[in-house]
Amino acid sequence: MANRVATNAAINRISSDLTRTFNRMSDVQSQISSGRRLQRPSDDPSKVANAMEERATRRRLEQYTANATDASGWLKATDDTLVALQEQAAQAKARATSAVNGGTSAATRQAIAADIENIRSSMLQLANATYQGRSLFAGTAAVAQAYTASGTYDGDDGAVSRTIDEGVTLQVNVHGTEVFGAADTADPLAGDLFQVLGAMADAARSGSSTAMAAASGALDGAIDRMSEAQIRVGGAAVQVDTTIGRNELVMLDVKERLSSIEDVDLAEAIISLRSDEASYQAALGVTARVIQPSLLDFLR
Amino acid sequence: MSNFSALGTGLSALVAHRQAAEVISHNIANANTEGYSRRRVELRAEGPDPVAAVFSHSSHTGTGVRSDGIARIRDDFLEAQHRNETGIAGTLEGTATVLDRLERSFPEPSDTGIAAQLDDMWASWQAIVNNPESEAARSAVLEKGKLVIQSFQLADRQIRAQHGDAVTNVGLQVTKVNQLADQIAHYNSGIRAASVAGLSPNDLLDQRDQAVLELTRLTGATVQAGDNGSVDVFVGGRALVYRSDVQHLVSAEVDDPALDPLGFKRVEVHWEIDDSVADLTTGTIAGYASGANEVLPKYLGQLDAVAEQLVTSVNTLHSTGNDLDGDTGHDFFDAAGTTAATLALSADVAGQPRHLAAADASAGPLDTSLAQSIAAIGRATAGPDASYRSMIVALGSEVQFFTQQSDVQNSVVQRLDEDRKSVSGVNLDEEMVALIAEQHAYSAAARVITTVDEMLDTLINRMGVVGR
Repeated sequence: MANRVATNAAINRISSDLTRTFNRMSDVQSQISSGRRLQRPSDDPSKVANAMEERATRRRLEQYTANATDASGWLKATDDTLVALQEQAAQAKARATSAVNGGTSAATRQAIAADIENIRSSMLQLANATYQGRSLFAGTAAVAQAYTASGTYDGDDGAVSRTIDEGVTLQVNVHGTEVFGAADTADPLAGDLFQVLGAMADAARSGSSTAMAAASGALDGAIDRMSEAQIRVGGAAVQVDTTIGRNELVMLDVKERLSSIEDVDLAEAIISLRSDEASYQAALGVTARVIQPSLLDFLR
Repeated sequence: MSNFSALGTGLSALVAHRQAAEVISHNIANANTEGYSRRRVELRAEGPDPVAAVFSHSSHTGTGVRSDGIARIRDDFLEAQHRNETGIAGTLEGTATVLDRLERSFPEPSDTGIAAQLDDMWASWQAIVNNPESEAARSAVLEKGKLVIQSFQLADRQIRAQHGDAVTNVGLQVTKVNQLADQIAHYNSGIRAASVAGLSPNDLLDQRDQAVLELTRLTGATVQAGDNGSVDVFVGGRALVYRSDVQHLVSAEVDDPALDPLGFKRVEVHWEIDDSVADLTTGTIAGYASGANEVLPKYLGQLDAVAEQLVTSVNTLHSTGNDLDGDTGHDFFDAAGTTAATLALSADVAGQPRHLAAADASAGPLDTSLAQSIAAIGRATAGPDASYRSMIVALGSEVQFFTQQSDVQNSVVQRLDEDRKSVSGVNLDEEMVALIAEQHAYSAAARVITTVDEMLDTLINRMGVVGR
C-alpha cells in the first residue's frame, strides 16, 4: 500500500523479519537438543493431556509389574511348601499303613506313633513357612506364625491380594483353614490336619485298626484338601505369568505412544532446522546488499 | 523597481534555500529518531511590491521567494489508527506475559511436575500391597505424600509471587503514566505559547506525540485536539491531560469478596483526586490488572480445588480403614488443609507409618484392599488427577491463544507503523536528492547575485568615463 518507504521503516521491517526467523530456528534447535517436542502445555494443549495420561498409565504398569513379580514369588513359595507338605503326608500315610499291617509289636507301634508325631511337627513347621518375613498361611493376621506350637490356628481367613493389572486383583495366598482344614474340638478326625495326625499317632499307639482306618480316611481327606489348594495356587501362578508377559507388551505400546506424542522426530526437525538456516542466511545476505548502498556512496 | 531589487531577490533565494538545506540536514540527522516527522520548508513566491499611488500599479515582477514556515509532514488519521492498535497490543502483551510466566510454574508433561508426583504417590500405595507388614513401605507412602504436598505448595508460592509482581508492575506503570501525563501537559503549554506567537514548535509536537503513543500503549487512552495545537488525553472517559492541566492516577488494592478466599486484593487504578475508579479496558496496565485480578486467581482457585479433591477423596477412604495396629479413623491429609498452600499430612500419620491405614475395616491389619482402593483414586475419571489434567489443558490453550493473538496484533501494529512512516518517515535517498537540488539552487542564486553585481559594476564604474 505504501508508495514510499521510509529508511528506518524498511530497517525495522528487516530487523523484525530476521528476528522472527532466528526465533523459529532457535525453537527447533531447542527441540532437537532436548529431544522433546512438547516442552510446555501451550506447545500443544490437547496432546499434553494425552501425554499426561500415558505417563500415568506407564507408572501404574510399572507398579503392576512389580506387584505381579511379588505375586509370582508368593505363589511359588506357597507351591513349594505345599509340595513338601504332600511328601510328608505321603510318608505319614505309609507309616500308618505299616502300623495296621498285622504283626507289629507294641514297641514298633510306639516307634511308628513317634514317627507320625515327628511328621506332624515337621508339617507344623512347614505350615509356619514364611515368604519375605510374612507367614504364608496366616491370611491377613499380623502374627509371626500361622500355627502355634500346639497346633492352634493363629491366623485368619483374609485374602492376600495383588493388583497385577488394571482392575485385576488376584488372591495369592491360601490360608491355614483352607489348606489344613478347620479345627474341631469335639471330633479330632473331623478337625484339621494336625488333629488328624495326632489321632493317627494315638491309633498307631493303641493298635486299633478301626481307629487307624478312620484316621487314614481322614488323612486322605486332608491330602485331597491340600491338592485342591495346590491346584488353585497353580492356576493363579499361570494367570500371573500370562499377565506379566502381556504387561510387557502393553508397556512397549505405552512407551511408543508416549514417545510419538512427546518426542521430536529427529529427522524431521533437522531438516526443518536446515531449511530455516538456509533461509536465515539468505535473508542476512539480502539485508547486507539492500541496506548498505545509498545515494551518499555515489555523490562526490 | 529599483536597480538593487534583483539583489534583494537573489538574497531572498539564498536565505530560503539555505533554510531549506538546514531543514533537510535536520531531517537527515533525525532519520532514525523514533517519532520524528519529516519537515519541509514551505516556499512561496513573493509577489511584486505595491506602489502607493492613486491608481496603484506595479511592475508585475516578483521579488523572490519567502519561506512560509516549516511544515511537519504527518497523516493524523494513520497516526490515530496506529495509536489505537498499539493500545490493544499493550493489553495483549500484559495478559500474555502474565500467562507465560504462570505456565512456567506447571512444567507438564514432565517427570517433575505435580502429575508425576501424584503418579508416584498412587504407585507407592500400590507398593504397600506387596509389603503390608513393612513400616518401610508405609514410610515410603508418607514420603511420596510429602513430595506431592511440596509440589502443590511450590506452585502456590510461585503463583502468589507472580500476583505480587503483576500488582507491582501495575503500580510502576501508573507512575510512568503520571510522568508521561506531566510531560504531555508541559509540551502542551510550550506548544500553545509557540502557536500563539506564530512559531512552529515542530520538535515539541513530535516529542509530545511520542509521549502520547507511549501513554496509549500503557492505558489505551483516546486523544482529542485542543486549542492552539495542544491535545487532550482521555482515559476511561475522563481527562488525564486537559490543555496544561494533569489529573494523576494512582494504583490501589481494594477488597474483593471473590478474591478474599485466596487472600488476594483486587488491584485497580484510581483517580488520585477523588479516588474513583479509572476504567481502563485496554493497555498494558489493563492487561496486567486482568492478569492479577482474573487469570491468576482463576488458576490458583482451580489448583486449590484439585488439592481439596485430593484431600477429600483420600481421607474419605483412609479414615474407614485399619492401620497396622488395628486402629481406625485416621486421616491421611490434614482435613483443615484444603488449599494448595495449607495441604499437609495429618498429625495422625506424620512420622507414624504404623498409622497408615491400608486394611479394610472388616479384615485383618495385613489386608491391603483399602490401599488398592486409594491407589485407584489416581485413575478415577472424576478424580484429582483428571481435574489437574483439565486445568493444564485449559491453561495451555489460553496461553497459546493469547500468545498467538499478541503476535498477530504486533504484526498489525508494525504494518500500521510502516504505513504512517511512509508519510512521515525520512527516506535518506530522497533527502539527498533534495539537498543537491537546494545546493544547485543556492549556487544559481549566488551566480545571479554575481551577475547583478557585475551589471551594477558596469553601471557605476564604467558609465560616463568616455575619454578618461
